[in-house]
Amino acid sequence: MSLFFQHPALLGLLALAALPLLVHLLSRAKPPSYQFSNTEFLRKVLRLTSRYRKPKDWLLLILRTLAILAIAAAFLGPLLLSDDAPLPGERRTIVCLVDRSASMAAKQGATSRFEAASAAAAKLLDSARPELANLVWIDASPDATFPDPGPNRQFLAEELTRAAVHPEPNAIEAAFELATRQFPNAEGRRELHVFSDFQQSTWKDIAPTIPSDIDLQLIPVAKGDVANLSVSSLVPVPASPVAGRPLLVQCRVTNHSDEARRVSLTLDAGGSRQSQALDLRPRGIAEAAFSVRLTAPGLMPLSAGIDSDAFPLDDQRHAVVRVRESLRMAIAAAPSDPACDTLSKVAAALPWLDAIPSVDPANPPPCDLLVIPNWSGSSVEKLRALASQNTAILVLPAPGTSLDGIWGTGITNPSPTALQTDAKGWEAAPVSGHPAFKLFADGEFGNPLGGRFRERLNLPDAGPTTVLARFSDGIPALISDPKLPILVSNLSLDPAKSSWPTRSAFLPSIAELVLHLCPNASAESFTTEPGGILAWTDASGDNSAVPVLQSPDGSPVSLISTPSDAGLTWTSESPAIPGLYQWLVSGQPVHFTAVNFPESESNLRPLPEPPTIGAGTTRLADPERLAALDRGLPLWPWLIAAALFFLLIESLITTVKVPSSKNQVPT
Amino acid sequence: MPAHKYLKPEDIRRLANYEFGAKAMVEGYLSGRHRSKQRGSSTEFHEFRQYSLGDDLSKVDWRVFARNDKLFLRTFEQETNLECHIFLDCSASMNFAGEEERLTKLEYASFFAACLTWLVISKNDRVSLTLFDEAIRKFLPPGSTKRHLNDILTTLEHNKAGSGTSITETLKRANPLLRRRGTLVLLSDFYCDPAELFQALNPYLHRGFRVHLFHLLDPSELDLGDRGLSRFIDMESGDRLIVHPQSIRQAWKDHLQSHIRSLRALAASRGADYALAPTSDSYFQLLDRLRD
Repeated sequence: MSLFFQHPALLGLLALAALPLLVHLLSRAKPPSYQFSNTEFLRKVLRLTSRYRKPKDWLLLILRTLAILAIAAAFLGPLLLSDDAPLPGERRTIVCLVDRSASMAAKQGATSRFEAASAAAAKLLDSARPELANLVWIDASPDATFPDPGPNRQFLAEELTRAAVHPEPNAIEAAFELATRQFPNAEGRRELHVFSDFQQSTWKDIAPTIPSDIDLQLIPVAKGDVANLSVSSLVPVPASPVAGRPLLVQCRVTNHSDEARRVSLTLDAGGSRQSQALDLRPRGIAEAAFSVRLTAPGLMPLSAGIDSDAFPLDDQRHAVVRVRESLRMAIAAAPSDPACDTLSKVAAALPWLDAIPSVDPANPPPCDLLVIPNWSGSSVEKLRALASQNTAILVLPAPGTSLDGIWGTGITNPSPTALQTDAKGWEAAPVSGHPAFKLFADGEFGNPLGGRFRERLNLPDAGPTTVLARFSDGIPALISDPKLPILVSNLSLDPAKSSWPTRSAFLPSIAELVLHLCPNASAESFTTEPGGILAWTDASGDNSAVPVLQSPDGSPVSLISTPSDAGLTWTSESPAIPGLYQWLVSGQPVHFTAVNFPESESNLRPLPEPPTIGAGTTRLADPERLAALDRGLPLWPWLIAAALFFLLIESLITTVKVPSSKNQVPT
Repeated sequence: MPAHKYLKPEDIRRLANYEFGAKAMVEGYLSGRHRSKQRGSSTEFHEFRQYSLGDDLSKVDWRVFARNDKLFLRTFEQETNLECHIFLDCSASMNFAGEEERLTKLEYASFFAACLTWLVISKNDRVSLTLFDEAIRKFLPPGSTKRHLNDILTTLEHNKAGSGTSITETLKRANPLLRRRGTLVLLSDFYCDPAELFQALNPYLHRGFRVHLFHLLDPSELDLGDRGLSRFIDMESGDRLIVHPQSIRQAWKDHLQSHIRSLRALAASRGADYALAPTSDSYFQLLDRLRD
């Protein structure tokens, strides 16, 4: 800030500040004389009152001096100018970076943060009157109103009035990048003003690169935290459940306030509703699990919600699961193979499992589980690729097979596996704690790997793999990949070489293994990020069927169709907002798309101070004041007010009575 | 009687209805009008007293002797005349008048003294006058004649304000001059220590004098007013003091009130009479006070 005087020629007026002192001295030099009967009494009174009178006299002198000084200074026409104020005639380009991400919808009294930001930006454009200006929005996909800064401030002001919050996360770095790209051709001063709530969860570690020739002003609009609760997670386990099997829906509710809260969480699973009460600690998280019975195959929408609070956008979360009729198990062995025979019997015994024998391990059909008995170590890369695409792989290596490569790069088994036989056989048992054997943990159903194994491979412990079961002498019996759904089994499925397939625990244990081996993630995605484009491909090949996309509020959404190899792809014209969208064909739902509120936007606590971005960052709460400082803030009204204030205090002090001295007089 | 400055005919007419110290116990030789504690030969019986050697045998009550076989004297109250002693402060401070048209404190006191003198002498009582500043400047012994009245009035008329004040010294020196007890009227502005003043008055009070203190103050002394910065010149010492009266106005009032309270309290405790007499008030109010 700089102080500038409009009438410096009148600086001499400041000498008037000495006036009260001069008046005092001159009047003291030649006061009117009066005869008085006894001055001794007067002296005594002066002595008694000096303790109060002298400070009072000094105070009065100071106040009178200050009052005259303030009046004299007012005549000088002082202006308070920002150091960054534009020079007269200097061109000015202002880019307003306005946050319209989801958190800006938070209400602060009668207005939302976004309305406050829009109003502040409009005020700035109106008061600063730059030659060129532009608006850049901070949301999931930042965009600018004009391709380049333009002179039409009126349009920008209208755009600010029309704009609304996008319930999306904010791509801050991208927005800054777009904003800084606005300036290359701009002449004169370049100013970037950021209007945001500076939400702690998203702005904390932001460090965009701002060129040094751009003046950056950060204008926070959040007036404080908003007590908010959000449904922050909704996870169905498994992601592709099978009809007849229970579905576990895990929900998480986060408390973003400083108070302990109790909420009722309700899950709507295809019309079936369940509720649980949750106690949340301040800034805490509570989880709830709902068990859903799946009776029929098909798409099932899931919605978890809490009671509406101060920020209702994140009070619901959605997911969609495709309930499958059965799991497909491909067996890379001939039906005559004992292992294939055993597995076929298992599939026949389990209604949710279908077996496809005699498949080519190098080119298997679409399946959930690929079992390769007597695996010779071939097609390692192909198997790992399948595993990464959510197909579980179960291999039973043949003697002499090197497991080198099955565990991925860096994990090697230098020695081939050797076959070991023993007429008496070995016993195997699961390693405690693995969820696949949780059903058997209490011992009620015996050993899941009960029986004796008369033939096995001498498998070594290989690096960071997970051993699920071991033989009694420590040789691994079941080994899994820590990252991919790949399981190597050393347990023979041939009833001639092992008594395990004949035991009662065999069927449930192999069923549990299959269920836990199949990946939890679904290959099919039913979710879209808020702000994204909704899409659905009609793979039926019936191009005459025109789908209708129904938004969360029930209104239809405009669609565009694009032919593709998979069929006709329909995409929405407008960006997605949080909620559950239904794709309807002939009034029947054929697909669902869940759009969930971005979790990062739920914590509405702003940063205590706007972040420091670059060396020249200025943080101001009032852009109008900023513009006023740029134009020069006249101080004379303040000085006159100060002078009046000083004179008021002076008159109050002069009317104050000196405390009575009656108690100090000796009697 | 020739016209005097301090005794106006209208005052004399008004004084005709006044009586001075009707209930006072005084000493005097003019029997009949005032009661005296001295034993005398009036008809008012006082008490019986046991005979002691040298007593006048004619005063022995023989009837009591006949009954009790003891000698008792019958004593009577003596009626006597009043003796009034006026002490007038003539220091320079008494020459103060806040406004030109107003009487100075000395003039005011002189008017009062003249009236009082006329009143006392008119009742055939005796009056003395002591003029003092730092010391006794003039003493007119008690008298009750017209000539004595004339002397006092003339003295007052020619009296001028002197220099400093020393009431205590004056009272100390005047004590032997007053041979008979009576009423002592002290007219002053009392710019002195109240305790010292009453220490000086103690001999008079012990002798049975009835003491009246009349505190004469100009209204400008009671309230310094709203004047701006002023230089005050002491009328007694000539000292100069620059003061902003407005700023100490209340403190001065409080201080003066405290001084007055102190004088009044000490007077009450010693059985003396005290009255504040602003010179703006009529001096007849002081005479009213003496009538009780």
